[in-house]
Amino acid sequence: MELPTIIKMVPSVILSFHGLLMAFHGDICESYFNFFKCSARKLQHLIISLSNAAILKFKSILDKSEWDVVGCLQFRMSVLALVIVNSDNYPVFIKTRHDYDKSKMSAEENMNILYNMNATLDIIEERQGQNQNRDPYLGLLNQCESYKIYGLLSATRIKILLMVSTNVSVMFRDSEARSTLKQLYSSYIDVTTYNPFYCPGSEVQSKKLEELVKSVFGLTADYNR
Amino acid sequence: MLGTTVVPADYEIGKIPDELSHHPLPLIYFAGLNINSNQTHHYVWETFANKRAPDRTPMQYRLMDNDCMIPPSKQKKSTYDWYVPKGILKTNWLIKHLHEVPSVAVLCVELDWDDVNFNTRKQECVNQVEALRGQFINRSCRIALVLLQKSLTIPIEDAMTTERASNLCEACDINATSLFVLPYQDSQHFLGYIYRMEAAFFELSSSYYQQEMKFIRSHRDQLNKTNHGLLFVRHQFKLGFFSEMRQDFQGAIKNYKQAYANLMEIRSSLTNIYEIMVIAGFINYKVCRLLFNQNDPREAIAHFQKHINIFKSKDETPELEFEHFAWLSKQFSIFGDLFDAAIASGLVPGQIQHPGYYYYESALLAIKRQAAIEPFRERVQFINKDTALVLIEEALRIEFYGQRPWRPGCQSLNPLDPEKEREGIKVLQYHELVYINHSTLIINLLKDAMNQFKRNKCPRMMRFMTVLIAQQYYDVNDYPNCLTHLNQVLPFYRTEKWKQILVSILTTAFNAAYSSANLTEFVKLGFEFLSSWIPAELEFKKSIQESILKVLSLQSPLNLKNSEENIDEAWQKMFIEGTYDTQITIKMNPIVPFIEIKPVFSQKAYKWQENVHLKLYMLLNAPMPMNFDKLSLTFDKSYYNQFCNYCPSPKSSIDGDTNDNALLHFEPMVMKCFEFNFEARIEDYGKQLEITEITLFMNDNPIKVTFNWINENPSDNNKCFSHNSCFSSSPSLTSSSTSSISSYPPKFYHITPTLTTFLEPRKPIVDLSLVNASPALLHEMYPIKIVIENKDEYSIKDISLTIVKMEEAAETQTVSFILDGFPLALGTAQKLTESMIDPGTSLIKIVYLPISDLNSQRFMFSVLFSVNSAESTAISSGPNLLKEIVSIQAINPFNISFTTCTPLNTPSRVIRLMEPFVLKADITCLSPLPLELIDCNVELNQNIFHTLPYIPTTLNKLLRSDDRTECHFALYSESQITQETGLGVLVIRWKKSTTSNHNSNTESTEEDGCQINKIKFTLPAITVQNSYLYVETKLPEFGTTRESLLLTYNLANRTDDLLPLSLSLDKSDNFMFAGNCSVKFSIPAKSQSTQLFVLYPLVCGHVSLPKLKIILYPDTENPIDMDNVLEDIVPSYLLVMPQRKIYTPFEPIGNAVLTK
Amino acid sequence: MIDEVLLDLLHIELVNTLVTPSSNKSELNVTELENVGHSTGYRLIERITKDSHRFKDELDIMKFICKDFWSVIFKKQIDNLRTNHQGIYVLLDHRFRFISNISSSKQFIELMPKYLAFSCGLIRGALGNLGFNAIVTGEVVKPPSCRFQVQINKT
Repeated sequence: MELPTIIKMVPSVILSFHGLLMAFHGDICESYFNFFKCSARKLQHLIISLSNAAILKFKSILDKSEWDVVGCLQFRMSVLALVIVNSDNYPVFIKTRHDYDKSKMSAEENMNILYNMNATLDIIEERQGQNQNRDPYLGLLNQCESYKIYGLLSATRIKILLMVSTNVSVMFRDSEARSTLKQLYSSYIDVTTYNPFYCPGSEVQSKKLEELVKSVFGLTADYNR
Repeated sequence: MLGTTVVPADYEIGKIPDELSHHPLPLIYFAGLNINSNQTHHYVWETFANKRAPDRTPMQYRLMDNDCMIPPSKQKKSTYDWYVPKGILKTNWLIKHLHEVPSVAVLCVELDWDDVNFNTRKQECVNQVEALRGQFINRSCRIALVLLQKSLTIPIEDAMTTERASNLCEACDINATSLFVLPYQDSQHFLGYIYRMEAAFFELSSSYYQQEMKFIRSHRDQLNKTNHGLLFVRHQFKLGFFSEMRQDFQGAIKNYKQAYANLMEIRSSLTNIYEIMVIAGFINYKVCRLLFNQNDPREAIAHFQKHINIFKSKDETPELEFEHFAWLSKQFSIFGDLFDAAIASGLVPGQIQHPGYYYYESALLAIKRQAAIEPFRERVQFINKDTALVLIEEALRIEFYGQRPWRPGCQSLNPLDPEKEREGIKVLQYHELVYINHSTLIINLLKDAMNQFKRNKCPRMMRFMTVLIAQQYYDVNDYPNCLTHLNQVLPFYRTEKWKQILVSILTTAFNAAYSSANLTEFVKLGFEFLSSWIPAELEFKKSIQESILKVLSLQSPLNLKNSEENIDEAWQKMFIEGTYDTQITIKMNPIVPFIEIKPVFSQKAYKWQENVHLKLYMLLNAPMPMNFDKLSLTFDKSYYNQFCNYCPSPKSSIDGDTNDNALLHFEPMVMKCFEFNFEARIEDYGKQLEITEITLFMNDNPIKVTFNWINENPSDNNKCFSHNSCFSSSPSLTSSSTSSISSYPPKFYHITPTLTTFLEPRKPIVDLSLVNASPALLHEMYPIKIVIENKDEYSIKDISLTIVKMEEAAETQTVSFILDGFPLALGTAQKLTESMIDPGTSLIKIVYLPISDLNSQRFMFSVLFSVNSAESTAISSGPNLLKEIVSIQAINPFNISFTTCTPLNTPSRVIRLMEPFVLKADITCLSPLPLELIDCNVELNQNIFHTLPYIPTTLNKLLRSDDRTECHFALYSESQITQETGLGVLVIRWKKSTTSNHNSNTESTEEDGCQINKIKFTLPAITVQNSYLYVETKLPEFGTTRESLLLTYNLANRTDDLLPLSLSLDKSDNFMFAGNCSVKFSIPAKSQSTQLFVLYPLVCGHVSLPKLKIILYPDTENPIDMDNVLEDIVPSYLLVMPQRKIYTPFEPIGNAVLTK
Repeated sequence: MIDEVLLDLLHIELVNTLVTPSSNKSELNVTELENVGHSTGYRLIERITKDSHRFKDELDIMKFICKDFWSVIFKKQIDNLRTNHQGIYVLLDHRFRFISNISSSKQFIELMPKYLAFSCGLIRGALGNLGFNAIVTGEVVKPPSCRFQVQINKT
């Protein structure tokens, strides 16, 4: 976390705040954005080249072992639903498998899943009051016959709930849940803080997040991004 | 069980039979007790069997009749080689061992050791024992003999007793430990005897069950897994059961778990799968219950989970899928019951681990069960009901648990008779459809779940259960119940704003209202449904809107469901019967709004007599235009309600442009604004004005609808009318929804509603004026007249005054001003002594301000006061503040120049030690106003003294502008001062002249200007030189020609040594004189010498005296000529008058020297 | 450090643009600037707390504001935090960056409040996102020392 963050945010706030952007500010902002974009792009390249190497290496290990990418995807396929709930318990982002593939889940099941996700807020509210463990990642919140719910609760009371089916052969692991939730959280923050058009408390709309969610649901192979 | 009538409804899939849920207790039979006729026997039996305290050893006692048949044990097979078991567990086995086969038979006989006919009685006893034995065929049941004795205590063990006892035991063929003596008349120890006997019976019983288990275990070697898999399960189950009978629960758990494991090893097929499921359910039940009882809920849950995981996916043919779900559902509900029972006896449940989830799961499976049987409804219609009933009854009397009644005992792996199977299954389906009330079942499970969730901090889950219950009611067309349940949770889900959930509930509720012709609910929910927030097909919404209007004018709604159900009839019937409300009020705050209102006061506060201006922005987000008849606002002060009614008639027009605009006609997504203007009442000024309610009326139809918004958060502008971002849809929210609304007017979205305004009270009419006569004079206490004039109708009070010198930091304001004769500090508020100023009067105060320098100064006068207006808020009672700034230009009142003079009045800068000098102050008045000089004094520094005893000089002199006056002070110094040092200060006391205060343009009062001021001037600095000699001259004021006069020089030696000097008086043409013309002498230290001369003036006029010359130390190398000094101190002239005729004698020589 | 300068410059321009003279000359209308601060703080805290644990209590949050939050913006921590344990916190910054370059002579002191408004908004926004409704006021003690008072409203 470095200083530029706030500078990035200020203009976006102004933008969204009143649509007020004086010519002078525009200049500053623009030049700054350009500057930042440049460096961000450079950084991105660096990360990509680094991670490409890592992925190659990882793949070679994968090839040798019994594990395969399909297997990895399979537990992604077990993801049933994902909800991001803001501090007012309002769902700013909801996706269920039903939204992608109506054949995999009946409308009724879909509703039950939503009710269950909603009901998980009870558990989170209970956890919120407890002080012993303050890690945002809450781990397994609830487990029923057919699903498990993992959760994350941020300091700002953003809740991310991930529902995973238990009716699949490959088990969804805790570490997987943790990294997935963290990834989603990070993406959510990007949208809500950097997107000048985002109005706090409203539903989140972001292509980036959608893409990530798609990969969480195992619908795109490139889940490592 | 045999012989009892069975009803088809008793057949329940997965049910735990009573014998299984019964708590196993060691069974003890009592023989020889005649409880009906024998008081003693009755008492003994009652104590054993019925008066059971909770801490007693767990036992089950039964009375045994003489003809009671104990089920005989079958002859055990010597070999199992050719034995093929027909099933796992017989239905009668458990009952047999629970209630029929005792572990101990107790024979009670009345026999005293000292009975006279002991031997006869003994024989009777032996016979009885024999008879008892005869009743147990092949049963190794223990026999105990209890002797009921009359003696009061246990007899002392004497030889006879011992002998007779052993004799008896031998005769009866029982162990000595099985012989008991009960002295029933010893009431004190009676219970103790009983308890001890009971414990002994338990031991006996335990050993019996132990033996039974050993016996069962002994078969194991003869069994093989291929043929006797079922027996492995059965035997292990029996072991578990007997352990339980022995109250060895850990052992029981172990055995049952083993039985379960053995069961899992059996190859399942279509033939036996149901039997396996049923038995697995039984064993699981036993294991879980024991684990809960042993306070090991985790293990119980784990076992149950394992159990479910094994059987979850073992589904049978689609025809019997319902049975599988039914069984699974039952498993969950049974486990829920066990869990609940454990909680009842002290287990603490967790938020995510409590029976609720199991009941919920059970309900879900029950729903699946219902769905699974539904497709077979038609098929089953053609069944022969009688044969079906026979088969169902058969199923209830089956020999082995879980077997099909149409093929009992069938364990073959051969394919089954398909015809028979089909028919059998059909019967099961028939039973399921005819005798099972699924929705009651589901609703009960959901209610159980709901209670659990409620109890265990899962309110949302609880509400979810309510929704599911409502859905069940909906499915069975019980719409009123459905609506009742949904209305319970709707308020919550409206605030929760999970759109999909809320929409789903609203849809169900709306459909229920529609289908049940519930007019009020239909209208309420229908309006809510119109909101653009609800993502429904536009066409559907339009038809809803149309339907609502139809219903309001007592017509049936459009067919909204596209179903054949004749809902129209229901509506017609309702209209005819008149069972509807003619007035519907819809509270708009909580619901999803189809019309939004934002009231805005044009200002946060309105000033005195300013018109209040209120705008009401309205936006309809329903799919079609809508008309209302009246709009009214309610305020917290009801007086204003009359101004804010809008009831358009074609003529009246507020917006003015078109008629359409003026009407309460709304087009979808077109913002309309209504404006109201009114005058506030005087008594309401100083108060908040708040909108409490906004109401829209739709009165044109037979059924009138009122839409009501209530201000729920008084004095909280932000949250009014539930206008939160989620219900009042913003563009970004609606763009994703399917409804094709044109874009939301962004203007409306950005309006912030204000519900309150403030009516500012008017300011009191009070004037503050400051009157002063410029300029101010330096160091004067400058008078300023403060006039507070109350022109208001109320008196003012609590008046305080603060004077702040501006351009000066607060901490330096130490100077004080004078008010009412008291010095008061600047910068602090001073309460005025006058408590009140009545209307129409003024308060005048004079304040004296210190003028400390010549710069232009500004003082701020602030007057704080309250208005004495308890009866009215219209005037701001205060504290009110008046401010006035006065700017003061100061000038110096005097200009003073100082001169120092010799006693001879010649200006001289030189002052010598001990020599007097004169300080002259020349005072010029600079003030344009006449000043009165009161006195003028010097305050001297040390070592400077007045020559004469000091009397303050009083001048009382009036000075006008540029007038001058002088003051003289004769002083001397007692010590030498080499550095220039100030003499001291001159203090002038003065005041402004009262008599001629003509510059002041106001009427002057007496005290005006009377303040006496002091002004100080620093005296010039001087140096004081040392001197050797001082010469004091004594001379008359004037001489007369030709009359002698005496000139005396007093010479004072100021040194500490002998001072030699030469003195000479020069000759003069003007005088003749007598005395030492030239003389040399010495003056001793600090002493004086006098030289006398008699002068005889020769000429008249201003004549020079003969010059005195003194030379000190005349005969040394450094003689000092005193000429310079003498010039200053010795007069050189004398006025000589012509001779007069009258002789005037000499006046005495006195102060004349100095006054000259 | 180009970044810091940029923030300073941007802030100056923010103040110049958003602080409008109100009808009453002695009072500055800083509402808008404060609101910009609020929105920025609201977003910023979301980002800063990304990797931190949830907070134990109110005091824990205030400490975070004083340390981490302040450091991110101003590259320094609040120098002193005091509380009455009843919802009032006083944050003291001995060298508040936005006014450290302004002369401390009399004529500028009147203008200084407008350089605090944005930061007051930042604190309020951050607290808002963490679930606390607060009133934040700032005052210049002795330039460049500043005092921020946070009053948390219990709801």
